[in-house]
Amino acid sequence: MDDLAPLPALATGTAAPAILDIQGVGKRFAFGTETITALSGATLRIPKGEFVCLIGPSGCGKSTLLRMIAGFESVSEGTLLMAGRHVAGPGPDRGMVFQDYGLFPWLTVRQNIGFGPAARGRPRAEVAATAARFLEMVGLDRFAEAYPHQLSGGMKQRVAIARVLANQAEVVLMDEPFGALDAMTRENLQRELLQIWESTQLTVIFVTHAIEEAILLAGRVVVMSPGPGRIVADERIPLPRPRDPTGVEFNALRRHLAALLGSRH
Amino acid sequence: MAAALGRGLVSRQALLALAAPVLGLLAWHLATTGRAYSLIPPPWDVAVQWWDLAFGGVWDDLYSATLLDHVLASLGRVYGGFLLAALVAVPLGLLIGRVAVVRDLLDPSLQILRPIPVTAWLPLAMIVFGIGPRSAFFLVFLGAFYPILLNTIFGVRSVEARLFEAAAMLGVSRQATFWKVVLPASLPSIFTGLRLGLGFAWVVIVVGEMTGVQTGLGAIIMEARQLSRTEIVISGMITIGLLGFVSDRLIQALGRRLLRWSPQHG
Ligand SMILES: Nc1ncnc2c1ncn2[C@@H]1O[C@H](COP(=O)(O)OP(=O)(O)OP(=O)(O)O)[C@@H](O)[C@H]1O
Ligand SMILES: [Mg+2]
Repeated sequence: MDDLAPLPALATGTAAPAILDIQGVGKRFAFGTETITALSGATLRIPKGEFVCLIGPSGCGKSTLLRMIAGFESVSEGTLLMAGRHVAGPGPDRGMVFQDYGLFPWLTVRQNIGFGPAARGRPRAEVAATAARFLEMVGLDRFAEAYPHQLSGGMKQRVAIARVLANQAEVVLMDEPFGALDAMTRENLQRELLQIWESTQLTVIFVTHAIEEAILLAGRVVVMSPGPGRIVADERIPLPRPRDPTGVEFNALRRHLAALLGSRH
Repeated sequence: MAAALGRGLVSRQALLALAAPVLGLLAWHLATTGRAYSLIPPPWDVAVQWWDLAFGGVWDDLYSATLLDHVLASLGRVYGGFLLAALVAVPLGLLIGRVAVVRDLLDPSLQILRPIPVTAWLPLAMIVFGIGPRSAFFLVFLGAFYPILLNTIFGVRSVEARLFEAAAMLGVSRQATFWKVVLPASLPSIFTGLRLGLGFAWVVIVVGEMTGVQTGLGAIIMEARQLSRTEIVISGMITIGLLGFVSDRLIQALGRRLLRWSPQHG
């Protein structure tokens, strides 16, 4: 129970090729004259189609790891491979959903969703069809011509998810995407996200503070710890979906993960 | 219902906006009317003079029915100088905001020139451009230039880093970032600069037209002052105020149309 060594990826379906292969990855930031080690020695193989949650206390390097995968931050040590190739910068194969949405305020909901395909020079008709399809998927047809400042937080986050999906991202990176939303909106979005994930081939890496959210969503929970940031556990969540947060197994997992988190500080 | 409410609101606003001018007019009237030695003419005399200036038929002197010529001359200089300023300041501001080399090259010099009041340029402008409308045009250009430049730079510099990340992860190339992110994101600031710049253009025009210019609102104000025709001076002032007001309203309406997406403008 307290064995904190990362588990080998045994139950993963050993043959599945890793879409993300993270080997001994670390990140150092220069901070004035000092050097801050935000993350060190992170090793993680993520097969295509997996839903992985990263949890850990504040400052343990969750965002840093996610931003390195996205290509926003350079890798200080180790190797980071996406579909077998070194990550050298941001790219449309890895879509990011930010906690603060990052929508383009001058574009309508429809234009935001079609932004990626349009920016990459897809034909007009195709962009329109793609935007319409994902507008419908996230249930925002009625707000297609609204601007971001006219939307609620939950609606903005739906747009952010739709725009990444419309861009045919293979890996969706989400950094506490529902952290700023009220409980009811959060539950709805969690359910919708799972539906979308189940109906697609998406690989999702989802950062959260909340143990319960991680157990509810993930097929696998990666536990991180600060000072310096590192991975301390890698747990499968073997429960069938939809999951019942009041169930016995759910609560056993919750205690288990809380112990893993608590034992390190 | 909503429409009626809206109209009620508008008329209430208009009423409030009119309160100060009406009170001012009243005070002016009480202070000047019926006094033999008042240096300031009473409002009614000014109104008559304005009418004669605009349409003639009252005094039939040198100034009668000339207002349109002066207005057109000033309008041409204001909008000409303003447009030229916008044409130079917006691209320059985009470059300074976006390209470090250009910023290091030009920003210090521009910051040193900036505190010099536009009026202080007048003597130099007259030497370089000669006495006449070209100096006025230059001063208007200069007056409008800095507000547009500084607001454009500010707009470019304050584009949220998040939007660059969002564009990059959606597949926008580095070169395309300028058109897809920087320019649209800084439009509200650029627009604020244009609005301020146009306001300054109207402020500066009078100074610009004060020497060696035959037509223009600034020119008749100066000329009338020398002839002690204070009614004409005030008529010219009021005309400038109204034109400046209307032109600000127009540019604001344009902003509301183009920047519907922006909570500040929409
Ligand atoms: N740009 C940066 N410059 C310097 N230090 C940084 C930078 N970004 C992150 N750090 C440091 O790296 C460490 C990990 O930060 P990170 O944001 O990855 O943590 P986190 O796990 O996402 O925390 P939270 O849960 O609060 O979001 C922190 O100590 C932080 O101060
Ligand atoms: Mg974080």
